[in-house]
Amino acid sequence: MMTKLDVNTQIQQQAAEFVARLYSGELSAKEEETIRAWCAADNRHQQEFDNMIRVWDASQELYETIDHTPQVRKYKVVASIAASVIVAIAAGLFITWPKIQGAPGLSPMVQTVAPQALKLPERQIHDYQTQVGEVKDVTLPDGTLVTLNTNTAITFDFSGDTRKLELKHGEAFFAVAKDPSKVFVIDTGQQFIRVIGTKFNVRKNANSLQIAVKEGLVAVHDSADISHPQFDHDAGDTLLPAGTIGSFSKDGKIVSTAQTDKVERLAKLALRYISF
Amino acid sequence: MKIIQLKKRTTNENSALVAALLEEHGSALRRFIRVRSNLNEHDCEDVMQMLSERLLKLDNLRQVLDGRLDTVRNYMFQIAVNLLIDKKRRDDVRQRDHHISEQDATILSNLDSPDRKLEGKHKLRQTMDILNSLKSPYRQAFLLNRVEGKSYRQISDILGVSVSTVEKYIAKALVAVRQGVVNDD
Repeated sequence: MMTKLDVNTQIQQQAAEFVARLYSGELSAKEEETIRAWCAADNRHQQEFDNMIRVWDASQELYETIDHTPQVRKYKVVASIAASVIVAIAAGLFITWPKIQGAPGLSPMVQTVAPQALKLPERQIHDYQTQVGEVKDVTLPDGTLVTLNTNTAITFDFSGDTRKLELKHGEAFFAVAKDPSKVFVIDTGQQFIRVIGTKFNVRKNANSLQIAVKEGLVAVHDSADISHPQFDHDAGDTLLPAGTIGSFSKDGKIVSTAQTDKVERLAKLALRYISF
Repeated sequence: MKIIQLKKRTTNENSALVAALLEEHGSALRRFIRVRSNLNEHDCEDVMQMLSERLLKLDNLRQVLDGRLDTVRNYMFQIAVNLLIDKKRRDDVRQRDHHISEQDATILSNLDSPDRKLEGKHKLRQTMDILNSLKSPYRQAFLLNRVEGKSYRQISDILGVSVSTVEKYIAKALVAVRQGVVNDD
């Protein structure tokens, strides 16, 4: 007689095999039938299949934490030391593992294209702005979601090697769509912010700049040297992990970083965007 | 005038490309969508429609595809997944509006999901410990696919094993990760 554990293990193994098969891209009509029949046969089957899909999706998020160079020899080294690398440099990143089931923390790769953006010609700097008292959600062509707070203006140009966006004035929350091949760079006029995919808030005043990081890791630079196609932190960068706020004075000096629950409050714009 | 011409040209270029893509990958995509999210034909066609619109709108589609070669299908799967997640979110929001507050529903629906439990650096460490405790080919196959985005075929070349073996390795690693991050009962 099988114990409950045996049954669970068996269900898990079956679900994992089906998911691995599904993602081979070579599923046959017969296999489709088999999988769907298996899922339909028992509630636990369907549930486990869904669980496995979520683990599958979430495991993709590990990529932000390791070198992306597609070299086999190098890869072997990377794979064997991946654990220490991740823990050492990017513990905060793990918070980016998605909560797929509910709306908050939804993977930032929500690839909807804003109709406003499409009406504009290619290779031109696009812009969005809000009036005083107005708050607006926009989706950029790469899937990045931006919530503009009151009296805010941004421009962006994605036609080059990087995704360039300028925060002219005001405050905006960014849920940057992941694209390791095209770094997302925000020019605040004082500092440059570089990310691949993460969620954070930027507020620009006459003499200060404040960045509150909700998820992921944000790099802040003095220079506009954004030539590296790869996401690579220089020694001179200020790195802000999730849950921190970096304040910068007008001349670009970092005033303070705080590990604080204020992030939640500062990033409350995020909640707006999450709950639409 | 100029604006319209530019736009039109992009659309035309893409429409031939998208037609060819759907011709080649359409049936695999439909199958993938149906199985992954347990959808019927009708809902599946909705997703295919969104997917095709999305591809048509991509300015750099040709460029993206040229850089992908063997992983074009993976790329299309990923776009489909994004659309499916989006769709699920919309459906969930619609549904929960009729019942309890959004926040309550979010908390409830997330409480026991494995991804919820994956949060936090302890889980990260745990996940990597699990992967490191696996036989090296299992871990490599899993990370090469999930992290590097390589196709099973490419991984089979790298590891020098058959494609079906790659699939088995990946399934083994996946079940280990899943067991490590979620404790039932």
